[in-house]
Amino acid sequence: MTAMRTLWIRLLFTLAVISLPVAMPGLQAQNLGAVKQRMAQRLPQVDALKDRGTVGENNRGFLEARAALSGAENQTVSAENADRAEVYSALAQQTGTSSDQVGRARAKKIAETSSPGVWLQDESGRWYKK
Amino acid sequence: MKSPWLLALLLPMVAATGCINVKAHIIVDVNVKVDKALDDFFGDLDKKSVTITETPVQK
Repeated sequence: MTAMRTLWIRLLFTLAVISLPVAMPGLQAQNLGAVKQRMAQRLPQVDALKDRGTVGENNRGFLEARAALSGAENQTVSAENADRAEVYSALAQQTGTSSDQVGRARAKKIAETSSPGVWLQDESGRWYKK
Repeated sequence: MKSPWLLALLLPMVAATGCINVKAHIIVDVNVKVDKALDDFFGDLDKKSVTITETPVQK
């Protein structure tokens, strides 16, 4: 009886391990949905910081302070960067690349499409205002 | 008599060129995949942003 129970537990465990990769993309999509929602809610604050020139877009796809920030502004930048890191990591897994590569590709796109006046960092590390 | 030597010399060169070609293809494919994944995720957000425009802006 005990042997049968052990067999069942092993079987269930094996099934759980096998089905994990199948369930993962679904879980990841749910997480990314929540991240996107947070980023959309934060967008007006991020835009305002970029518009004022107190924050710029670095060459790795993250926000970086260009002037002294208040506590709340620092929190906004940290939260935005944490969400971006999560997105880059998920997209790297999805495309078989690294988070760094995804972040740099995002930075390139941001540099191309940013409005005039936004602080940007080029590939060599030099900061400039578009 | 010369042809086997010539073949032996040329074969690695041809193989190496093929490898480079395949590698370049893979890199391009990955870049396209990454760009598409980024557009899929950030497309809506970028449309709402006032500091990002849909069309590339010159420096």
